[in-house]
Amino acid sequence: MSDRSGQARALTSFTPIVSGRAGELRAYLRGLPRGPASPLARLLRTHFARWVIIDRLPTDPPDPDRLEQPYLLFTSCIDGEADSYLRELAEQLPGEAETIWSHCRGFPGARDAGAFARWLLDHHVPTSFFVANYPKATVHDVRQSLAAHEQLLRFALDTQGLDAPTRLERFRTAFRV
Amino acid sequence: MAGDPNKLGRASALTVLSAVKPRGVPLLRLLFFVGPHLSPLLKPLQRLSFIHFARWTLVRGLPGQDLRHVHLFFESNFNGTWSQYIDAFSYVVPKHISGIWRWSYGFPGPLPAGPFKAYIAEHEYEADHFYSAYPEASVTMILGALELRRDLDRLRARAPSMSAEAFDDAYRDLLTAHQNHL
Amino acid sequence: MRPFADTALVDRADLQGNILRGYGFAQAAYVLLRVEDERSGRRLIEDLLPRVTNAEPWSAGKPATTLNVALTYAGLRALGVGPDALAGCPEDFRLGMAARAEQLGDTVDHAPERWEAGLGTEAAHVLVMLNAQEEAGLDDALEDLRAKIGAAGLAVVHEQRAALLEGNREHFGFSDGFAQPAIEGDGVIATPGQGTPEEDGEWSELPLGEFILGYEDADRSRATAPSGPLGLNATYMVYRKLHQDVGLFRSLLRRHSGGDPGREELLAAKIVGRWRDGTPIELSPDGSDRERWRAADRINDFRFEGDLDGRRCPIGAHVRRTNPRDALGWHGTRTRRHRMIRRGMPYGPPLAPEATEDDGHDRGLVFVSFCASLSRQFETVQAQWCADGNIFGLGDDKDLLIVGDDRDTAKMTIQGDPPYFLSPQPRLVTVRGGEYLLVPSLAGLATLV
Repeated sequence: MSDRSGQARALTSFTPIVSGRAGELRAYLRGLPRGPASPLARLLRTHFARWVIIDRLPTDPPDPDRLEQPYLLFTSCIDGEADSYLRELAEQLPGEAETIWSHCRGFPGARDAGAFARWLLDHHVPTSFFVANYPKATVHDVRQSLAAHEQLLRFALDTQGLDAPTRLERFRTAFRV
Repeated sequence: MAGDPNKLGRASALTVLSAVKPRGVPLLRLLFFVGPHLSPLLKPLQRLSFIHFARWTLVRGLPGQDLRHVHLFFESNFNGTWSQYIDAFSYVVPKHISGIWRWSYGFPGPLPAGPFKAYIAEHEYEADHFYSAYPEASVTMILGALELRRDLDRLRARAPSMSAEAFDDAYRDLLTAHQNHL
Repeated sequence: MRPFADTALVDRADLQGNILRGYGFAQAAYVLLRVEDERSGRRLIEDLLPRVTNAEPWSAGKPATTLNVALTYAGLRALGVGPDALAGCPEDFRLGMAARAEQLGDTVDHAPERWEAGLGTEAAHVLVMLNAQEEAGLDDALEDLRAKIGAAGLAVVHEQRAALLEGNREHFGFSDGFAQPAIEGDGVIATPGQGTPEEDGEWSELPLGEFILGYEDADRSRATAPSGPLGLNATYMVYRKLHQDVGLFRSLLRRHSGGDPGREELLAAKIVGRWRDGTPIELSPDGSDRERWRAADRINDFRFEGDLDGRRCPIGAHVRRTNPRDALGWHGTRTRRHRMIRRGMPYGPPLAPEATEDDGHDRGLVFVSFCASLSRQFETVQAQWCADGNIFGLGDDKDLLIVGDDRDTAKMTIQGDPPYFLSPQPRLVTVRGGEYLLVPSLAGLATLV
């Protein structure tokens, strides 16, 4: 059982949705702004995350399971520990966290970050096998590296064909050396 | 907002649940336990380089509901099209796919790709909200940038004390080493 | 229920010509028509059907002209094809090329809003393709066709003539058209390098169903196709008019080679992946040597596994992007389902040999290709392999030859020690318009009469 790969963690929670409220929750989630404007963007330790309403189970077995109520699945690939991350979630997204998880049974509210974190961790399902392609890199590392790439590419294009002293001088300026 | 809910920039989300046959459960547990330590197993997945993060979880019950069957939960954050992704699994690593999903009810096998794609499509869930911290970056772009930044930082550290010629050589080496990441 | 034929050999009398084997004629004309009403449309098809050229070998010598017919989805509807048959049409064909613009990278100057009249609108229904050995023959055939069109009361929405240039080159000066997929049962003897690279060093032929509807493809399945006779011995066609700015291409080469003609040729070869005479740069990195490779029928016999860092043939070179062979690893596993038959032809007069600026004449390539799945074959190559570079590890880099890139960090990397960055990346090719079409069998055409 492993939720970890390097410094990255896999968070998976299934919280039961109060009867009749799944449709409203879905509409709210689908209406959230996407990309940098997503509320999740405020959680700087989040690589990837998703909310998915699970409203059915596979019907392949001869005696398939049937959901008594739909579940809200929340998964996240994060830097560092889950507990502090979930507290941050309650602090950075108080409005959205309240709106979203208030659709779920037993939700203690998001005002008490500790209680919120504990509640979600109670609904956490440990990962069996977590694979990360860059397990040591935090979100910050990734973003900084992408920015460095952009900067070096620009520099390489701008200084192609210039003589050595000019290039060194430009490098010192561009990279603040 | 418009657009495919499972896509954001280059990033794609896949969420899949399948029911596992009883005799498959201990075998999968063993596979997942040993898996991370078997690098030949993971190598082809790494070479394919389109998975940012993926996880498999054996779900025995949900909070507030017991389940008769253990379910296999799979989520992936990858780049490329859905079709390319499933095709690559079918054609390149069919044994890996088989190893994991062979005990799931209804699994048709990794090949041919057509029925396998249909199986995944039937068992997948559309994300209601999908987020990526760097949606314009692919896995190879990130891996390349991480390495590049390390070497660039080294060069930056050395630059103050270098002659123009020495810098030129070092800079040339940097570009040459990373030309396929630029 | 879709009929199927499980033999590897296709019915050549039923299949239209120029698909499995190119006619090799020097002249062509493409006439796109709008069907005003079902009856007159069907009358034209009935009129043309006896003249449609099939794929049978020419026992009595080459004809002076050939005639072939294709239809868009809108055209099938306009001719009254029923919902049952239409239901089998795949989404890519149904939506048409213009609707796929975003995916294909047909934006800004390439956008359908800027396409030539008639292309990419629902008005394009029937495409009549004429091929001829001589210009005079083509003129006659066109006159004949116009009379038939007039008699049937249809309207011409787009017309394009094309002709081979001297030496079978295209307008940028490159020998073209000789690299085609090796297909089982096509009656063409495959030369090494045309097929799928296999682990044992050999090349395997592609299943017929990768190109012809109604036959088994590489996934042991049949491509999505209309039901009934329209879905057998047929194929999907890409028609795409590509304007080429030859002056801009030449000036780009000049600018980056400091006026040295030898370096210009090398740069051109690096961009394309072949020297102008067709010799692959992978086989012959220092200079073209066509006779050596051509004579031994080995002009396509190369792989990239020994050149994964792109030092001989740049990773982003055009031919490497459009047919990566084994460059994506695991031999041909990841590339074999993305091949296309190409039968395009240049159009417009050549630019004066020394000119490095456009002279205002319309010239370029009528790109024509055939495949059994537009999205898996044409669109993957265009959108994922040319309009993007990530699958090759090249991030956002686009094919310099055929895809422009306005970003200020747009470039093509010529791998080396040190690498050379070709930048900026101007728009050498502009899409003037295109269509997705179905090329039915003769039996299929007969249902449209």
